[in-house]
Amino acid sequence: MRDFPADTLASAVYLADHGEVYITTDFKLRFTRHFRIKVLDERGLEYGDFRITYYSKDGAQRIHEIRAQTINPGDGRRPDIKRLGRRDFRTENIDDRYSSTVFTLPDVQPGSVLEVEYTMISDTPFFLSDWAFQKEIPVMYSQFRAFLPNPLTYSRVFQAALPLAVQDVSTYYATDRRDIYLDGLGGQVYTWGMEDVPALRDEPFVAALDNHRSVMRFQLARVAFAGSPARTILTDWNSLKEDVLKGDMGRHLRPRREWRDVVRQVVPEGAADELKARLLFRHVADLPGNNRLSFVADTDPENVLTGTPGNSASKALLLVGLLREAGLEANPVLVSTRSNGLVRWEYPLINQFNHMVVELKIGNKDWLLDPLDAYQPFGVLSFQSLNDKGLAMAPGPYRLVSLEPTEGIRIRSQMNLAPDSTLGVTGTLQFLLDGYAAVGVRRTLKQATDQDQYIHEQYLSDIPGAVRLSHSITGLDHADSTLMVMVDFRSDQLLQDAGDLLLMDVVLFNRVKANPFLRPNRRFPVDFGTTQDYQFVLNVTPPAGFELETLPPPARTSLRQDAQFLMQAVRTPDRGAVISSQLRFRKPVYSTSDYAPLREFYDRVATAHQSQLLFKRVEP
Amino acid sequence: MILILLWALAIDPPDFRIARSIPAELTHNVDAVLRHHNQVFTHRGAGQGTMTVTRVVTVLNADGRQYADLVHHYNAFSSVRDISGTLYDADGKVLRRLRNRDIIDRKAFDSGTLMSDIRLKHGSARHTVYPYTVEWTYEVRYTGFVDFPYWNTTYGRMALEWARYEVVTQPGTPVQWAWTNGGPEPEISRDERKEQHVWTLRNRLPRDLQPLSSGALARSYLVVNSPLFRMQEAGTLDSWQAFGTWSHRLWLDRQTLPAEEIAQVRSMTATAADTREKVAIIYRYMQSQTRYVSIQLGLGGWQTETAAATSVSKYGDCKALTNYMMALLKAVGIDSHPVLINRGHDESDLFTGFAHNRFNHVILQVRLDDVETMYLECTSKTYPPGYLGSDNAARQGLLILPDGGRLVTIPDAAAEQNRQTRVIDLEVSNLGSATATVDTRYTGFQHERFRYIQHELNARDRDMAIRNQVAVPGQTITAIGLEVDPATDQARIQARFGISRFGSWAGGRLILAPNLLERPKFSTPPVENRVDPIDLGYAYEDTDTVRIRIPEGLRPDPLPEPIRLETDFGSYTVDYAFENGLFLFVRRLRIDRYRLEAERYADVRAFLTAVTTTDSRRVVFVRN
Repeated sequence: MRDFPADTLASAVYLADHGEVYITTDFKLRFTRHFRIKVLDERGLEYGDFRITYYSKDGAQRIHEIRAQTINPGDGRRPDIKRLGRRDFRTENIDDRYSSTVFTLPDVQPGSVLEVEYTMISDTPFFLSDWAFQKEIPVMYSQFRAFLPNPLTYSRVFQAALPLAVQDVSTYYATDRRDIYLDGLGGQVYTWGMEDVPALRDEPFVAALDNHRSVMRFQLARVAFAGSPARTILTDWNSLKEDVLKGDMGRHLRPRREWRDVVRQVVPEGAADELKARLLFRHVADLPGNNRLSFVADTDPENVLTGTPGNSASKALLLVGLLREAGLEANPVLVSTRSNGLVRWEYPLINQFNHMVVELKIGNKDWLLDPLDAYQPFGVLSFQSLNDKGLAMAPGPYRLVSLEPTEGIRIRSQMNLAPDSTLGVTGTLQFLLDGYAAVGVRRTLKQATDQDQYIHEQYLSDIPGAVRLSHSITGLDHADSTLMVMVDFRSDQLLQDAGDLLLMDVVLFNRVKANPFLRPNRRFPVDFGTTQDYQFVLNVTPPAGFELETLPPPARTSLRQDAQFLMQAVRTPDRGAVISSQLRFRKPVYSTSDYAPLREFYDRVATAHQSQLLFKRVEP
Repeated sequence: MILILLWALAIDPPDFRIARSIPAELTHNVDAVLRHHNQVFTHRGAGQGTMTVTRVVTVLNADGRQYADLVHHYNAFSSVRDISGTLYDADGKVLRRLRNRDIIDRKAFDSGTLMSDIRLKHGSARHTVYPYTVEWTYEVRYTGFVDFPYWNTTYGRMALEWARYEVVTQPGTPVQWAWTNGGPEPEISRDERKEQHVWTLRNRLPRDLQPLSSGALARSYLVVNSPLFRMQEAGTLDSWQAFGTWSHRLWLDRQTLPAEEIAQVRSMTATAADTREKVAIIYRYMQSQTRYVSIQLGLGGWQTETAAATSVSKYGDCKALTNYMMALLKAVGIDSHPVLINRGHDESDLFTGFAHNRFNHVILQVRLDDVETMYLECTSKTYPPGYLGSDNAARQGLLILPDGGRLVTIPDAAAEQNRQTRVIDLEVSNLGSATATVDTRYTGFQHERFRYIQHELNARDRDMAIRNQVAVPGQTITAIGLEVDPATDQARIQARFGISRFGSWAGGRLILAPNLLERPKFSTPPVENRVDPIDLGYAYEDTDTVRIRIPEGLRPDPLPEPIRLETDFGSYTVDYAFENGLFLFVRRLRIDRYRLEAERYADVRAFLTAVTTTDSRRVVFVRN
């Protein structure tokens, strides 16, 4: 087999991928994986390189046995097998917590079969890791078998893009396998298998590819040994929430004297509730963070106050503490970010989350606050947090909080062009950036080494021959305000002389130059994350001795109510023109059935954005 | 004289731990200031040495925090010890002290490298109130090296207030040095016990690269060494010849192959007409047998794996694959020799004045006869024999011969070799829509990315990459294909597509831009004080011939004037013609000299500006 007819894109294919896990008599978790990969072409040779990473701190996990070999067709009678020796496996310490076993298989050619089998021992049954049926290359058969002893109950999340071909549960007894933990009885053995699993490949505008992967996830839920009381580790969202609030999170949320001092410093006497919240949010957002996201604080919120950069949870908890100190109703909200994937609400597993934000309620108004860094506006979630729903860590029954965007990408721009008789054009450009448009630009502007060069590349590179004369920026340091960028420029290339005519391209900022969706079809929804709203106005006065001859034709297209485009041009009394373009995407996510119309919509916009103005010489 | 010196010493030096002592001009548009950097390398004989570093950074805002972190890479031949850090507030008051246990030790990941023993020490001390200051001191012990530790003086958005590198040697030990992008001369002092070379930098603000410059200018560092060295094996840097002798020992006697393979290679080449053909056959064989894996372990970062081992494992890094190729050639009696080079578009040239070890790659040289030399890139599975790649070309390399090293120049490619030749046939309808047939041929460096697209990308990404080559708005592609010639450095893309609006009607005229596809974008803002030399990548020639069938009854008015630009670095010509309803546009852009002095920026800018203006020029058609 040199190709795989089911998937002509594949460079390699898993012929079989088997995993098995069981708990040993001394409560260790023994995981064995055995797979064979067939290399189909030269791009698949990289599958001969392996890195298996594990948590090695205090010997928590280790590779117990490992075997690897390359199988080539050989002389036709007997296959040619090259097996790795002990010394061909290299162990690398990544840092004080993780290690890797690294190896490369010999004589890997298109047509080779690569076979690897290893056993990893983990020192607690908590480490039952996910089983992904689906990979970046096709899998012909994937099977996971779990021997789960009666005293341990695992909760399972099966995220299925595809059906299971094998699904089997049976009872096993102590006598079946001597090395298995028995507790008198044995337990259940589960087998899940999937056949002909297609490859999962990335596409543009996908929040998290893992949302679309077929995978089985586990979490230890309950431990009940004979003779001792059962310990529930996982039950339902209510108990889970209560347990978390009783743990470190509860401790971090207890009022402190230091918080009273901060509130007194930051909030002026008699401030209204919303102002209080805005000031406290700004104070916490500006404190240094370490840019790590987590739903568990890596340092006590008090330390964040005194300068230790904390992760997103430690900053969020500090903000909750300060808001409550100021007499406001605020709660932590657990979030799974876009790249972390969607939360499966049917399974109350805490490790589905990876981030924390804050909900604030004043009267009947709600806000969500994301004090990640100084660029974050008040009441606007960071782009990463816009992912379905979060879990409110508040008293009372559990409650989900919508993480739908309340802001979008909003750009309003205006350009005034004044051509002169030497075919030169002077222009002014004004941008008003709001919402997510402002957050990103603010961050890059603050970090640019050479602002002049950045302005040129960002705003003038699309205008033929434009040379920056000066620029100004307002609102750079105020994350809650509109960011305004103004640029004065000159260009000698915008106007083209054609006999008694002058031609000029209609230059619109953020002009759609090409369709971002080149492929005719798509398997996943188009996920922009937020709504988008672009408005451009171009104002042109004619050069002396010329008048506008024709206007570009108006254009209008829409995708139902979900996306609109409108472009129109009108003459001005000074024989010039005003051209305005409005492009709106009202939905953050477009389904796969919207893909074809969305693609066509983009095509129409791109075509309309390619227009020219014509000036004709007038008799003096 | 002495009095003046004493007076100078009596002035208190500014205390680098107090943030407000920073000169105001150093805080403009930066996030941190390197207050004090004192790096002292004490050479204790070949391969032996200690370096102590004291580094004080004042952080001005949140974006500057990273500059105050300690990051030190090390490998099997060095160890880092006695790390201590101190965090100061704006007034220089101690807030926190850090010791070895606060330092993270971890593997340094380098994308593309599978196995490596390079690790790093990372320490971090941060505060919430700006400015604050962090001081680090540490010591590094070396048990093997060729060059002394380099001094990298590129810091991103951090200004430099005062920094020095001191190299201490025993009297009489020669010291050789050079800066990659210019820097100060050392002050040299000596007494009976030691000799010191001290380089000092003061009050420098960072700056970005100017447009059209080589990325090699972005990094500036000091290379320094002493002729006698030891890296497991002793060697000398007295000359390139001597360094080559040392390198040669690492390659010696590693070209033994299994007898069957020797016999196989001999029979494969038995009927070959000449040496060139034999080399080509063996190169193809080597490509089919092996794959490249990056490995950097111990002396293995320097010494090649044996050909016998590579013959079995069929993988290797650049040294192992080059050595294997050498062994295969040796089996048929062809001599070849490794050439150490510094590969990459953004790597600066070697200093030819003294031998040093700034290499990251190795290729193979084969002498075909007294006149002709062939170079082989042995890590590629798809290059035609003798094709070396743009990232290896036009630089000096160190040829490793049995009697030592010799500098050789890896050839460059001229404009004629790096061509893009395109022919477009367009038929415009009365409504302005068009159908197009495009045929583009690429050679030399211009064909390289298509070989990559063809062999490295999966079918889906390949399809996208090819479509991008002909993308225009409102397009419907009906056929498109890429061919890459396995035997020569050529590629070809052919496509057929419709365009919903190629021409637009305005006031009874049809307006269209005949240059459909070739609109290179050059970023050439005016630069007041041009200091960086100009680098346009490589020499090339692009030709576009566009034939447009115009609807009946229309003619160009006016027919645009032709353009002829001739300079000493390149030329640009555009011609227009109209006959029997067929409009012809021919564009030729040729760059011959792609590296020019900084003073030529205005000329280059004027040239490229004229190119972009003309490239987007439209033509107006009126009714007869």
